[in-house]
Amino acid sequence: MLYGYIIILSLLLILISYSYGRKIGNKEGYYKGISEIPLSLKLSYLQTNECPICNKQQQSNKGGKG
Amino acid sequence: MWVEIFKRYIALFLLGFVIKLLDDEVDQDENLRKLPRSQMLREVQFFKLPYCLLFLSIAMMLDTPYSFALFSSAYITGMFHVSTQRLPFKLKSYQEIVIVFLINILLVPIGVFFNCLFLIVIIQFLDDLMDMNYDFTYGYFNYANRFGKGEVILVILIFLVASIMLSWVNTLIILPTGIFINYLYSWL
Repeated sequence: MLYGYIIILSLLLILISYSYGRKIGNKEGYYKGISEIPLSLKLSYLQTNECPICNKQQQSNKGGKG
Repeated sequence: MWVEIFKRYIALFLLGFVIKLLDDEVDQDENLRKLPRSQMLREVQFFKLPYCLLFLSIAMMLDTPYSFALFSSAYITGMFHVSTQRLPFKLKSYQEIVIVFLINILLVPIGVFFNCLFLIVIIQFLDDLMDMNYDFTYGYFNYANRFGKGEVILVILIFLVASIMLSWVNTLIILPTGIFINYLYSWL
C-alpha cells in the first residue's frame, strides 16, 4: 500500500512539472516562431528570387554586383 | 467467488453494450459516421431504448453496486467536458455531476465507486489516445488533443495505480473487458 502512495505521489509530481514545462515551452516557441518568420521568408526570397507569399518571380540577377 | 466473478463478467458485457449505444445516441453523429456495416447492429440502432433498458436491468440484477457505479461514472465522465451546458432538466451539467456523485456516495460503497470511476476514466482516455487523429480531423472533443498526449498517459498511469490499490481483482476484470468491448464495437 505504501509503495502505491509513493508511486502516485511521484507520478503526480511528474505530471505537474511536465504540464507546466509544456505550457512554458509553448509560449516560448510562439515568440521564437514570430521572430523567426520574417528572417526565413527573406532568406527564401533571396535564395530563389521568388516572393514566398504570392509566388511572383523576380528578374534574376545575372552576373552583376549585389 | 468464481460465481461472483462470472456474474460480474456478464454484467460488464451487457453494461458495456449499453454505454456504447448511449454514447452514440448522445453524440448525435450518426449522419457523419457511416452506418454500421453489419445488419444486426443496423437493426439494433432502431430499437436502442428497449434493448438498453433490458440489458441494464439484467446487469443490475447480476451485480448491483458495480453496475450502478460503472454506469453512473460513465455518465459523469461523458459530460465532464461540457460542464457549463444546460441540460433538459434546467440544471447545468456540473450540478448533475454533483448530484450523481452524492447519490453514488450514499448508495454504493465508496471504494467501489472510486474504483469504477478511475477505471472508466482510464478507458475513456485510452479510447481518446487511440482516436486522436480521427477526432482531430472531424473536430470531436478529445482529451488527448486538448491537454496533450503526455499528460493523458501520466493521468492513466496514476489512475491505474490507484485502482490497483483499491482492488486489483476488479481492475483485472473490468479493464480488459472494457478494452475488449471497445475493440468489439469498432470491429462490428
